[in-house]
Amino acid sequence: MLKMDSKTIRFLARMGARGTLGQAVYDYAREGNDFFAVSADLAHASGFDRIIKEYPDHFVDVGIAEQNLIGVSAGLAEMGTPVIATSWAMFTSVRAADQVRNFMGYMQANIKLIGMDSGLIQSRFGYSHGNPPDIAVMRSIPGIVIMSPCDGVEVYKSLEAALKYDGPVYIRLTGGNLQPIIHRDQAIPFSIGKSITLKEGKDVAIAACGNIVKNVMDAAAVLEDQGVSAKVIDMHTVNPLDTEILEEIAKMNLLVSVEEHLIHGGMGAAIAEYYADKKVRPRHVLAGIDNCYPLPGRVSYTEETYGLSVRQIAERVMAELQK
Amino acid sequence: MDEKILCCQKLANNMRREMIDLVEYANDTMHWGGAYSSAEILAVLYQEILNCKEKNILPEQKDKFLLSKGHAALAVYTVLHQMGMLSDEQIKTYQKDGSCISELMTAKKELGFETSGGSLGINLSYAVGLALLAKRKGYTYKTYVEVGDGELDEGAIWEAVMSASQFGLDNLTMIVDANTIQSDGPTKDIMSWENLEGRLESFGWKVVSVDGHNCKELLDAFLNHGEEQKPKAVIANTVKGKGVSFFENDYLWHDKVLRGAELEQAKKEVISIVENGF
Repeated sequence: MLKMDSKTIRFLARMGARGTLGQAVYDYAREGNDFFAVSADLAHASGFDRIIKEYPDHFVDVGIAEQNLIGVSAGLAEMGTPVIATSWAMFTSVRAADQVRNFMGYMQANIKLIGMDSGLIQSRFGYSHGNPPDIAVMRSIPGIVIMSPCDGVEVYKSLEAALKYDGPVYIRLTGGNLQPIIHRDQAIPFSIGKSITLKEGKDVAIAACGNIVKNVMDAAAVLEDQGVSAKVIDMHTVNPLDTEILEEIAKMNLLVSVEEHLIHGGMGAAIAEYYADKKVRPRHVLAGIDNCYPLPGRVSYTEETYGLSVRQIAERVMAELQK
Repeated sequence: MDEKILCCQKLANNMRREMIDLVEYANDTMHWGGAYSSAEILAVLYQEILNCKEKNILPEQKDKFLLSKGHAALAVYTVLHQMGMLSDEQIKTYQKDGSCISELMTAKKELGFETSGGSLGINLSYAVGLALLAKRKGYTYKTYVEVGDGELDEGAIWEAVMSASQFGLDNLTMIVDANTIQSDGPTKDIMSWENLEGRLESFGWKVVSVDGHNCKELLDAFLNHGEEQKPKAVIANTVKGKGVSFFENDYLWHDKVLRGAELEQAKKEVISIVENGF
């Protein structure tokens, strides 16, 4: 697998989340590992071209058939070989939920299911593809690790960790063809279930996951200019949740969770459920898409409409701090 | 008859031209291949078959057209605009932030978008329900649904195919835009539907296979009353991207930004088709 130097970090940023996916699987293959890469007519979009060419016996295309994708992948994973299965996040979650629940949830098939173009990136196509409730669906199925990486390094690291992990994993890819660079540190301490504190702060904690972490970091800089010290937590794993960090920030006044997802059933909701019976906990504001279908449009438009732009996140934090 | 056919072909050519004009309003990639393969299918349906252009028609009488392969929405927008059912102002909001004239079809009945397409495989079942409703209630509308040949991979299609014949839905027509290419490549390499006629017939459907760019064959197929109690499938054998040389049979033009020299070239080709025909 690739070592994270500054050149690689820039390379992955330019590859986009899906290009990074293809790169990670290719690197895994080159190390001689056994695997299957399975796609539902999205092999090119998954960055699998080199896999198809160089490892044809390890590749399966099931056509536009996402339910079949999960069933076939479960069969292929029967003897423990990891199977990387890909489709758009809407269809890995809501369409194939029953198959995911049976094969990945209860039967613990060793599938690494990749929900591509989650969040708001495909909102321009209309609601059929945009803002999938994938975290909510996966959280409703016991026994699945759920990750939502925020940049190229983290996409790569989460795939590496998922392939090492023996069991079902859902990885949610967000953002477009250019990824922000959040992790510049060449040795980021990435492990499943352990959040990464990107910035220390004392006035407010902001937890985020996926591509929107970039807006949160920028908002934290805006807040800093206004004299507000924000701690930013990259909550890249939604299940299992990093409860240690939640205990660590329990005495803070305010926690804001920010996600490119419905508020219902998302990362923020997972945190809220953890805190529900705790005596000591911060006041918690949940930012995300609130109970609606986003109108079609570009990411900038959709973020602005649902209060997820840099300016709006900063303003929201300021307003909440003054309550 | 010849006049009608000519009129349909002209409409299809104008749609191809207008789809290129819409580049001006687009923010991002457009789905070319499947929209261009569908031009004649939609032209014949809207010009000659569907009664939806009649004013003040009751919902119980108004024919239903569902674009299940919502990726060809561009072709529906242009046919509706050419027929005067979408205004100039409306079509200019194509791909605009907050507009329901989105890249994939989003349901908006008042604009004639009967369903949301794009989540593939789900609309044939909806069409079965609509056709069954008409049977049970004695409504006169007919139901037409266009699916893609890649879309046939979805299992839900075959659940609906079985139920349509079970319910004896001779008021239902499924058009398969058989352009033989899906996102990853040729359908025969990804998931073959070889002998689709035989497959559908064995499921109890009446099947007609036509050249999907020949308006006469399409019209004959739609007017053919088929068989009592059997749903009808029209397999329209088409060329993905038909009408612009470099779109044709190239899966990369399924969904792509058209600009620069390629835009000029495409414009030239569709103008020539409008002026001189194929």
